[in-house]
Amino acid sequence: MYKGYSGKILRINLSNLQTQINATSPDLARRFIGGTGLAGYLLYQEIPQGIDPLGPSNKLFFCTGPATGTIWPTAGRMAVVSKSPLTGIWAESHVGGHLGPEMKYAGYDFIIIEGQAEKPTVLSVVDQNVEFHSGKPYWGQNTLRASKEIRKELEQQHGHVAVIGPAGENLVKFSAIMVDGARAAGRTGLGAVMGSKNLKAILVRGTGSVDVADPQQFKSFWEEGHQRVQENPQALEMRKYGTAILVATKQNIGELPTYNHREGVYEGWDRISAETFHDYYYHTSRACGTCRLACKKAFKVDEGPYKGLITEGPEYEGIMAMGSNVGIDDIPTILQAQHLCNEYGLDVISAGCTAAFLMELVEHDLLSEDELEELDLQWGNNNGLIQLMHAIAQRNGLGDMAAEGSHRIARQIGSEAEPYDMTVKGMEISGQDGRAHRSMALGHAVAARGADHLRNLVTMDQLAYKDVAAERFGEDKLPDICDPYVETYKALATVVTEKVYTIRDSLIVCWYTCSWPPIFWIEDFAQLLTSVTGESAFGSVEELMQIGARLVTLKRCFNVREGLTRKDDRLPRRFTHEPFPSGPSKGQTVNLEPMLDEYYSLYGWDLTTGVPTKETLDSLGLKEIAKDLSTRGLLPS
Amino acid sequence: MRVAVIPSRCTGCRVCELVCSEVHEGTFQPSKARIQVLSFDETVQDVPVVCQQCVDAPCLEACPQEAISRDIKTNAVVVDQELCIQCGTCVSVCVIGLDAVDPQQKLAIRLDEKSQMLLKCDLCDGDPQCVKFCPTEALIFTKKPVEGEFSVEEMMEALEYFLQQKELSLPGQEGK
Repeated sequence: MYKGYSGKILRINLSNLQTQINATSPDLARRFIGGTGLAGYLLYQEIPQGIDPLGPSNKLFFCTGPATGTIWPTAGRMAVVSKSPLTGIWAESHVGGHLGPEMKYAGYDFIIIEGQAEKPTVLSVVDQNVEFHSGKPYWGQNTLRASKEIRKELEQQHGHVAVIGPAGENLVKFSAIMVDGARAAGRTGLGAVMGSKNLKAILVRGTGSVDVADPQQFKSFWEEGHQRVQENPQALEMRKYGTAILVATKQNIGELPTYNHREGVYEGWDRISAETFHDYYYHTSRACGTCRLACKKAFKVDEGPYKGLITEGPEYEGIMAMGSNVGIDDIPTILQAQHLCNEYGLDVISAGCTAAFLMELVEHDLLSEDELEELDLQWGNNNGLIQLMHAIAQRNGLGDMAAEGSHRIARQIGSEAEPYDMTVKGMEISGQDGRAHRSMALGHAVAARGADHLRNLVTMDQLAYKDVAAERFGEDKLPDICDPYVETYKALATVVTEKVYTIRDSLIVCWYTCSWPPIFWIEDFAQLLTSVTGESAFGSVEELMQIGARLVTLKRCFNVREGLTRKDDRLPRRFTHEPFPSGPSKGQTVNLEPMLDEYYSLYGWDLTTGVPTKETLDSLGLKEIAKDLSTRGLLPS
Repeated sequence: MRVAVIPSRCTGCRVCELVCSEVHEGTFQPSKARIQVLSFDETVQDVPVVCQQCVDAPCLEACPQEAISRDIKTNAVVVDQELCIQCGTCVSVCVIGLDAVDPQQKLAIRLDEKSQMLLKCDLCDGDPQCVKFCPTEALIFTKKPVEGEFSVEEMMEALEYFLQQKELSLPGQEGK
């Protein structure tokens, strides 16, 4: 097996309490690298079409890549891959902290959870020893407490824990898996998959090593990498403020989701800006493994109803979801809402955006007094938001309906609610708006897990990186490629970016330092991969981009098999038909269809259906996938 | 000289552990790092623990083989692995983690079970790499006391809290 990998995949079946260790296949590593790439192939092969995401046939892949556990900056991350209970399609969610590296030190590239336990269970993986423990003492506990008690009870204080809270236990469709306290594999409802398997937590402790192919070459490369991050001015800004600096950035271009995306500017933005958080509430900074950015900011509340609260986060996304998008400008409320999401194990984006959706329904009298019970969900109601978070996690009253996510609620209420359903493929939209960030309009529409900003978000137009854009896409694409309000070149930028990011997600390294600030790009990943794995083919940028196309197309095929086509690559009507009423992006809407045509063409997918053609699949080395889809009659003729 | 630890600057990134293992073991293996980071999730704080090269070092004095000595150039208390018989006396007398039931849970000096090697900070021959690569200057190579640094007693307390999984609460950071 190549270096960099641990070389083993651990399978744990909760139905029969059996464990199995397989070798990681060098052939598959060469084709799909690792992380969500390799997981994509295995998920396609092992999860039958049409299964219930919350049934025993679904599997949960805890994934690392060849860079995980090395000292390369931001190599502390990992991904969880499965079939989503929120959307019924491809699910992936990435998480920082230290669990990914710990898996590698324990000797595993992947840990795959199969089946369904009869009773609440806690798993411990300490090097080669896998043990099943009763999860009963911890069932119902919040995530921080459960992690601590499990580490103490198992006498594995140095272990790292992935855990679900009450939300995952109660199968909330957007529940999260929490790692090392406040790091979340938040999106796509993976906490519910873990909950459906009666798995409260996995503790991993590893004392082994990660070895690289060329230690000398790698050393000079990682030293330079750390230096490049250390000297980057935007990285320094992020180290001080975290991602909250985006609040001002978005406000300035009219892309700060406000009142359920009705507006792109928020009158209270400066009361929830990075400076306000930092100057009045800053407590400490935290980094995931090997990261110099330390973008995770902890805050402390010294007065008011949440006096004494210390909590990690929120990121920009949490500030948007629990702030501008619900019309709340009170930082302690935003912190408490974020804290409840961490403690209950909820995806902060879907939870906040579902709250915004419900608030708009209330505004339009689409929820009855009976349904609302005691909840006051007027825009900007601090207490209403907090009560709703409790209700969702416990599935109390309206929370039981809200726990199903915006899209299911909209379908239940009917056509009157549809205009306010801000989801794509059933997942709530992250804190961007395609009307003020045209590449993101396409990105949200096509991403494999639904409204996703992390798999293909182009920062060239949003943050106007003109020099970087010229370098990556050519001088001739300026100024249009950096203009956030036009569609021109956005499909090209999205496709190139998406291929690079999918390589990033198979390594696995962080969004930050690759996407924003733009420090590392595909050339760096080529060098990283060759020095770590020893496979010289990875040193070719062309080859890596081809693998990138393979991995994006593979995830697409997983969704195609579940019945998705071009008709599912759509945006909420608000983005395409409702011009922004005010701000720098006033009057803007998205013209999606031409971008979709160009996007499919660039990948070699069929324009009518959005399904990859047989020729494309064959040329990408996905013959077995082509054969499977062809047998099912799903390939375009 | 010694590696002074300023926990209020630490972000818990563990670059120190990785570079330490790379330098001493030629691989990425934090379990063998001579410096270990303790994380406290509820108060969101991290405390690196590393040998403070005590003036009257109990490990040095207790070693029956005289395998532990002071490097005159760097002031590091260093182990001669050739002379060491892995008796564990030094581990048992180290004050950091004095109350730890399991000697494996001691951090500043400990015996690696697999290799039967004593793991202890040797100050990298006068150029400690953890200090060099720490992103936030939470580790300082110094002879003099440093503001905000943890004493041996405070490290002892942090380790005790960590083993009990109790929350250690330190003042917040400056935020730079």
